[in-house]
Amino acid sequence: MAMNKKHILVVEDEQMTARLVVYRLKALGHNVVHKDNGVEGLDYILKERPEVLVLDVMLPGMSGFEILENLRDSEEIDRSSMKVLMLTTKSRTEDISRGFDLGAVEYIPKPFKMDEFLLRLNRVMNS
Amino acid sequence: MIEFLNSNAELIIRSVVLFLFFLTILVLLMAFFSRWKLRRRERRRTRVTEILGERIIRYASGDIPIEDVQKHLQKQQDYTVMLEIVNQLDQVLGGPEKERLQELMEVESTRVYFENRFRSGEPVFQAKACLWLAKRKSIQRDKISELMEMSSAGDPILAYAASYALIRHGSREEKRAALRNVLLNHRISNMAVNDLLHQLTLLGEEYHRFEMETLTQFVADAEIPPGRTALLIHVLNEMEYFHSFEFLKEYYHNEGGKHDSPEVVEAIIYAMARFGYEEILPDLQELYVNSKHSEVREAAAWAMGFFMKEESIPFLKWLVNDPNYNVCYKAARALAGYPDIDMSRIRHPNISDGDWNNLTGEIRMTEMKGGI
Repeated sequence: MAMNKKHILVVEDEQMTARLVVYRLKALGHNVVHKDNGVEGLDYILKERPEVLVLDVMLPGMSGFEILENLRDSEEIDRSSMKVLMLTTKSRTEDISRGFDLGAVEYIPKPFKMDEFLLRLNRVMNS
Repeated sequence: MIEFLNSNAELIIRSVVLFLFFLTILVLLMAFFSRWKLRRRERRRTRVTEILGERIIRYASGDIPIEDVQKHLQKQQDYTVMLEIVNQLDQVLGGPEKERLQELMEVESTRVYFENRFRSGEPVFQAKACLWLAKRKSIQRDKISELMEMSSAGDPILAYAASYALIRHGSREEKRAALRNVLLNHRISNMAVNDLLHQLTLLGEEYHRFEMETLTQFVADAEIPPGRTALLIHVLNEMEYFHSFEFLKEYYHNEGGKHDSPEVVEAIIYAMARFGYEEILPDLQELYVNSKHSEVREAAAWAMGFFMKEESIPFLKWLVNDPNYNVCYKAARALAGYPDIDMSRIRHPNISDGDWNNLTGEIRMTEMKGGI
């Protein structure tokens, strides 16, 4: 799977899930940073402007949706330069549509197959 | 005796003081020692989690062979750590990664370790062994009857873990029996019950119908405590099991709507409203707005706001003055949803203007965030 090297932020509170995702993305050569709560995640986004966000919905401190709302309302951030993939256990249609309304490009419900995750992420990066 | 005490008073006091001093030193040393041991254990656990986590992730990704994980399983604690890691990954992974994790559960040393725990008679150890069984691809039939017995154990951890394994490996009837045992065990939290129900839905689409049928059976089961019945109704509602509507409607009219437990009444009001059953409106307006239970009045306010009928407006205005803040908030929230109602003109004799402004401001904020 050919991918350009990207600056990716993974915001996920489940330690092992995060480690697995980070491991696989680093193996593909990406520059990956992990934050385990929404507040630190938003802080990092505002300071470092990653190109791709892999966001869990349920997060301590601030949910994935709240992060996207903050980004939408922020004047400092150019949202079009940042691609978002939502990662969550929730697969209810209203959550999916809320994520898309807030700017997510892809949505992956847990449990997921790693190949499918990478495929969708590739789609996000190329969107 | 008194003479002896008088003549040796100083010696006795010194001896007592000395004894207490040494006792204090001993207690302090023991406290330091046990703390040191605990810290050492925690440090080792962190280290093992780090190393094993990295190995298991690489193994699950297909980058290293299973032997590279096996050689890191040296002490008893390592197997427990491995099970925790596999448990976390297993929740989010599917496909070949999940299959590799299952293969890890079949390694000979893992099997021996957990089989011994299963036979140990110690509930905590048995519970871990049950979780291991749950993670395996399949288990022998003779284990099922033992798991069934454990699912009705008084110990909540063991009962939960055995039910978890039965949900993975039991027949439909065994799954249902295990869930019933859990519902009857008052020491198991509602959150744990919810988790088991969630595990059921993870088995596949076909289990959604089974879950719905099982839940409706339990709602009608007189032996299930009211708190659990309310939870089951909430799950039917949250999971949007519309096929359960006819059953719930019957239940509402025959029993639920006038149940002694306010939790059940509250749950059935929410469910009826969410399923769009407008025939509940007269009860909301005449019966539930005057309930002595605030949770029932709150549910009534929410449900009237959900249907947004003109005839509910006077009842909602009445509930705005409820002594309970949540009821007042839900009623105000419901009124704010009506397009023709000016919130600044709503009478609120029991609420100060400042509090009213705060409340309506809070409602506006929630609406802007898309909340309910």
